[in-house]
Amino acid sequence: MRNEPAIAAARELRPGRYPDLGGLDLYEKVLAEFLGAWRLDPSVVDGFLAAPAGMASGTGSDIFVHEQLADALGLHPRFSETLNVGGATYAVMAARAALAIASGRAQAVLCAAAGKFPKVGAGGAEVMARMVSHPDFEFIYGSFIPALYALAATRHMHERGTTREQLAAVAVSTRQWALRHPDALMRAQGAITVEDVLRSRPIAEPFHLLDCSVPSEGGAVFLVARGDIARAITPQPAYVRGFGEYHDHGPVSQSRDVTSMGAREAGRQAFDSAELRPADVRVAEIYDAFTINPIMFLEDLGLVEAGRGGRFFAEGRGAPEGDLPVNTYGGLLSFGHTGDSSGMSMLIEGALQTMGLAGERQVADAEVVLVHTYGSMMADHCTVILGRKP
Amino acid sequence: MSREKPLPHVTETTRPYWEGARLGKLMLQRCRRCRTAIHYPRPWCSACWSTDLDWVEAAGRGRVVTFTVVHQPPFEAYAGDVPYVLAVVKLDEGPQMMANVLGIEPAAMRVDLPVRVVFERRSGGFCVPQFEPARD
Repeated sequence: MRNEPAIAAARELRPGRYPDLGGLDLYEKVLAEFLGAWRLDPSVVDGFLAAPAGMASGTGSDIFVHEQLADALGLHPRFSETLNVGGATYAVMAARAALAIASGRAQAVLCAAAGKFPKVGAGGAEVMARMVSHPDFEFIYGSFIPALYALAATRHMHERGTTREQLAAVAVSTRQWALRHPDALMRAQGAITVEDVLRSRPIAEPFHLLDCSVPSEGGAVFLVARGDIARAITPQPAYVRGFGEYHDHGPVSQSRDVTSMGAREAGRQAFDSAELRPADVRVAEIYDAFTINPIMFLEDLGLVEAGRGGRFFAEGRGAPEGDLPVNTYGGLLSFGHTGDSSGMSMLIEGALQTMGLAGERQVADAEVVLVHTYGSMMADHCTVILGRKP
Repeated sequence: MSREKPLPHVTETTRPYWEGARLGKLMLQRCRRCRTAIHYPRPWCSACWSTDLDWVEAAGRGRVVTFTVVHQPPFEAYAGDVPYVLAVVKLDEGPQMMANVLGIEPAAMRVDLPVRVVFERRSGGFCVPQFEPARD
């Protein structure tokens, strides 16, 4: 891309529970951690993007987050807003920032997220169920998040032959990666087997508890900068090679193809704009609220042949010794799903892998890393392709 | 939190749908210009953006596009209902809708099952369209 926009700095808070921190307090903590980890010159930053601070908690009161935080940071940006595309928010931020940099409208854009996750026991499940469903035509039937995703899984199993054991294999593979991440929530639980997943408590068929991501709280910040600025910050930035987005249905019941919710189109745009092919991808970081998601989206993105996504995981191809590492930070399944900010985690990991900063879990030849995110109930899709070369 | 099943919020746009349900009719909108059948109700045709819409009674038949059997009640109102079937049904007229499939053992559920509409009575005199296996 023109002006070589690249992720030059990235930092994620350790996922956990931060009961004393409201949305904006959590933003402060995330930004302080980011600024502590990276020595940056505020005068180069002329863009700032944030997300609403109370999205998943249902409070939604903090809608002018960018104003408050930019002021606290002493920034007077010429490119700034609070934007929300659910889990796709942060990939969309990277795309918007890259476009602004490519067109000369900004030179360095800070992108921030902080995520709360309501306790499902305290009425939070009902609030969230209503928010993710059509309130009058879905919610009245007892729809809620795991059940809505299970609808995609059932149809995928019917049409493409994906099996229950293959879904479990996604959780097994992803846990293996979590064991290599010091901050992953499920690291202390150790490795799991397909049998462990099948024996865990049933939630909404075909999903059992270990098919579901782990609710937590957290946040992250990354900086997208013009190539020369990025290279002054770090020797190997993660260049934004291309991106694509596609917004499919609203409520899940209105999806025209529940096995393929829009990732195919977002991915096609991303590969076209990057002038790359699926075969070029060395690492894939794919939003995984539930085990079906990496299977669906590897297929839709063309990284695996349609109908082979389940087998891909059962054969260990996405695991640490596999030929295409998937969700190398442990995924939302085992790293933790940090509510509003969950869509940051795979982007931060994609950047760290590309920058060569992923520590124990670093993939050797992470030349091209694909990040796929979606928002709401697999409705909004954004794919970003990062690379070691501009 | 409530022990009662959720009720819809009725608006001017959706009132004919819920009044039809009370009379045992599954109502759909149909575009007078391009004839597209529409669910959920809205003030325009999502295919051609005409605002000239009619209400018609659906045949009340369709097929299960996909489903899940819920074991963990999402909130208190469903605590006594598990396991229950949550499904997406494609109506013969074209539109898709969410519903529960009633009157079937969850283990017998399958994709493509032919279903027909039934109505579940809830508090406040509301009748909610649901489905059961079509027996003919």
